[in-house]
Amino acid sequence: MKELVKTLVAEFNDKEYAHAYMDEFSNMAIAAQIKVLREQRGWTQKELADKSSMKQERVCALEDVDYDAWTIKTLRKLSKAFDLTVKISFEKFSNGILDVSKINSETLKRTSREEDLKEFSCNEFGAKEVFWSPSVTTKKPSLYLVQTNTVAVNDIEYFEFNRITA
Amino acid sequence: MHNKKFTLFDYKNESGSNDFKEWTKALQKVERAKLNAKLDMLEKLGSDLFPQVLTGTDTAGILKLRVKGNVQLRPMLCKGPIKNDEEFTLLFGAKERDSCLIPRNADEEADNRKKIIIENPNRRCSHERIS
Repeated sequence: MKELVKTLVAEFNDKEYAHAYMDEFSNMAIAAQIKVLREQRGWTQKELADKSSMKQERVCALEDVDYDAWTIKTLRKLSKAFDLTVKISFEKFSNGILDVSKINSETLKRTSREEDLKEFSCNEFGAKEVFWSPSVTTKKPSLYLVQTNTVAVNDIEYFEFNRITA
Repeated sequence: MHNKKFTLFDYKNESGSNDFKEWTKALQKVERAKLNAKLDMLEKLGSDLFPQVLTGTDTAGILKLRVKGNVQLRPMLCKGPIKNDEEFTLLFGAKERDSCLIPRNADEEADNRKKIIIENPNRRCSHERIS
């Protein structure tokens, strides 16, 4: 992952190259996310088409990674069908590079409004954060003090990875 | 944290030079950027997340990578051919105009190269990125 990030940082010194690369990537990413969100909900293209008042052929075209004629209106139609909100913003290239390095089917999934808000409330509206303590020196180096009970498995794996490679 | 799903290779010709690299060098900068974006995703995720990126050709086992633009790039590649679940090998640089490959026999030529690599895996090297 780091290797690709470094490569892109070097390549993106060229403005024309950087824009062409990210245009291509963002087309792929939005098409992939529509497909991932549809499959996350167990819908066929026809079902998504019905829910967003489009034809199935149109959904098929939107899921094509080479489609590049997006409109905000279309994205909003889809967001309503998925019960998500569309976030449109201008981003730094470094953020774009991180998006490239992180993309996979899991990072593209999103929880629909009702379930999301329920989780959000249970999580004290985002106030429950994950805190890591500094490592504690013991005779058993595998022991570390963890100060929260809201740690996800991924966090532990990430922590372990960094600890091992440190 | 190495999260590449596939390894990319390039075909090497009889004299040991990388034909695919030479083909890429001849492309415009914007075309190379688009090609690299597609290859990066192929290397990272395979074709599962982006099913339309790779499509079949008239020759079984030979795929074309679709890169849209003013010039439609259609590099020919195959899964494996040594470890089919872990690799893609870029075999032949081609383009497409009016639904016809340029050169027209690009898929057949790619298939010949695939057979050469199966017989002699040294006729390929790690993919060389041209930016």
